[in-house]
Amino acid sequence: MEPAPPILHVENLRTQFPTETGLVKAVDGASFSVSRGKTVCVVGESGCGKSVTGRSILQIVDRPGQVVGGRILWRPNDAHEPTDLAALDPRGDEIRRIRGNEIAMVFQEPMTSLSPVHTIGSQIVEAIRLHTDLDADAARARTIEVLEHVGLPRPADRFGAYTFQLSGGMRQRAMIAMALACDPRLLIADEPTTALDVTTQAQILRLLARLQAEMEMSVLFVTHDMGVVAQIADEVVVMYLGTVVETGPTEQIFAEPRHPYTRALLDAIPRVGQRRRGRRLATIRGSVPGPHSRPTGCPFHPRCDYARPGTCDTREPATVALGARRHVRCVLAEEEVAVG
Amino acid sequence: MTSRSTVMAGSESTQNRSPGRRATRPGAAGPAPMADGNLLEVRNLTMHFTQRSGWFRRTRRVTRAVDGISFDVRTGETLGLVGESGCGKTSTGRSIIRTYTPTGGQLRYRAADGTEVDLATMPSSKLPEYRRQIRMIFQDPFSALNPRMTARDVIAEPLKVNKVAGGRELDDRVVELLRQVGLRPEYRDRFPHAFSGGERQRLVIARALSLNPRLVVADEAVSALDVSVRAQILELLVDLQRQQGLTYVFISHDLSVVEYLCDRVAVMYVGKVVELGSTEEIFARPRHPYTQALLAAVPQPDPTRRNILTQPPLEGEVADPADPPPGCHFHPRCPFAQEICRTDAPPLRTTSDGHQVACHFAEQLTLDGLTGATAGRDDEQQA
Repeated sequence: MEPAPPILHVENLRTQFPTETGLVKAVDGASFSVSRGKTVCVVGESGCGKSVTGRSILQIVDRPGQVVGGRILWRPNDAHEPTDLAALDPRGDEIRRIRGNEIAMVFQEPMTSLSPVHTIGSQIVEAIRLHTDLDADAARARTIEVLEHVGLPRPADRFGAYTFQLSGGMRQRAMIAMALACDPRLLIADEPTTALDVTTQAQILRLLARLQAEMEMSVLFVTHDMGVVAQIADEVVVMYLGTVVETGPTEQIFAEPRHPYTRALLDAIPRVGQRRRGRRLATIRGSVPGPHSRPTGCPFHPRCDYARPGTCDTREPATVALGARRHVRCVLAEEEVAVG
Repeated sequence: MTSRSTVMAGSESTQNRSPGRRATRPGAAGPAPMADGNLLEVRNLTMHFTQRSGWFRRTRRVTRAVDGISFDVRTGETLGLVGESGCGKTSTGRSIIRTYTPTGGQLRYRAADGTEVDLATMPSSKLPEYRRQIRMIFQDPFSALNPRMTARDVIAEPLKVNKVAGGRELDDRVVELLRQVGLRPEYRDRFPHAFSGGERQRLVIARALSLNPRLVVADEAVSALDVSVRAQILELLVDLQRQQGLTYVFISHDLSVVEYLCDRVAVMYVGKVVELGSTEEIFARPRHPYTQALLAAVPQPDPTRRNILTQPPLEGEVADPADPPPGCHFHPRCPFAQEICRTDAPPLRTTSDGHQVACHFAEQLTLDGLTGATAGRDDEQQA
């Protein structure tokens, strides 16, 4: 049986920032897809392009950056032909209809997307009235409904609250309420729990999981925390320097990482009882190179323990499929497939 | 950080400085001698911040950031301070290095020459000597370094200010420190912007180590770093401790890092220590419901054990330290709270096995900790 087409399919996405000091290739040929109703985590260290990937989908890359290549196929329902978001004008009407309506986004810092001088309620009402034809009273009722939905206590009172009157966790809930007000089919969450305490993080993760199940929404969750990935993801996309190095179902990625970078990331996390058993943390030598000093060949080769001089530093490895929904971009995997 | 006077001025403006308000403690004339093996003994430490407002500024609002805590720091150990934001971890750390002047209690410190002194009441004129011995590593390596100072200046400044080294000797010491923290000495003329986040944190560490401190207070020292770099810095801290016999007070909200690095852990909640014990005990057999809730909220890096979405999370938020609930501060969020918890604040007491806990029902409760199952699986993989 042919599997249902994914709700979002990103193919060879390239987003670049022409700066005075040179061209920064923030996303350099990323491909992955999000299945309907699933949670996909994009994971990587700072500078790997995970946030820019999320922003590229909505065409809200900060200037002077822009999507210069690839396709972003958006298919909110199976019956329709997909729309290529990469081809849309970032300031056009078409993307505006999708942005905040079919695809919504939440950010790490609620204060970047919430206005400090407007009440929570008026901001959500504005978003609802922009995308629906509800009148002011209906929009207000809907706002209180979504505020209650995200677990904000006394939602009717909080309608008139300003952001500074809310705690960090409550602001994050208000932002999620705003994102969900128009019933999006896909939620892009960019590190929404990174600035929160672990206890608040657990509350927000549970909230997102509950809302996702209730609304049959797909989620693209950008994070650097492998613990969060293990807890919530159906599938994982590992990025390094603008490229997708490995994708696959969460259990497989954690049990059997195939790319040396994924393996190194997992080994760098402290495990309970590890030090008492006298085992050090595995470290990845060096650090993520700056945007202007991107290595040739495989971008990970200067830090890779398995790098082969003459191969890894000269040519970019191909992305090979190792099974259903499992892709690795590494010379070692290439050989394995060729032999097998 | 580059200018000590700025730090002091900042803290002075926010805290209560009136001399009469300092609580006089009984037996102040002759404090009990410190126990063997302790580098620092914190006794009933309080750090209250007073804000005045209203008509003639007569309305006082007292934030009890640290509210009567006691613990020991043993020579050569790493003591973790954990808790949610707003629980008083950072205020405790800043009191130890005396950028805050505590409003009460004692900080008994065994100095390098063997004498025992109380840092909490020490006049500012005597502090420089002890600030050489007790150093701090800050969270954000981007704001802790002056962008207009080269790596050499950053590390050399404490040496010059304290007249420890000069000229050729100073240069040699800078090179040695850079090597110790794993930076190439050739980079010493570079400015902070030319370093990556991990390299900057190494610089901050080199600066903290420049005066051969005995106690290092690390406040969220690895929280701003990427996973791969975080592992490097953690291993660096472990190596430096082994080589130089350092003692760390490691303040962090990241429990997996604390579990890895610390020998003992103190759990704080709204200005009080609610549990203190060996890392192994705290993580495997927590006695306080708050500790257990914190552990349960740590996302385990193992998709076969999904703790976050299956267990009910700790509801509510940290109480306001200016207006904490009566009785046990944790009772509004505690699933085991009884009538006594609403009225009586439980003292921190030692249980029969030497663990310290502040809960009325510590003996009755059986709380789940984190087991090493994840790591066990990991063992097989690497074997």
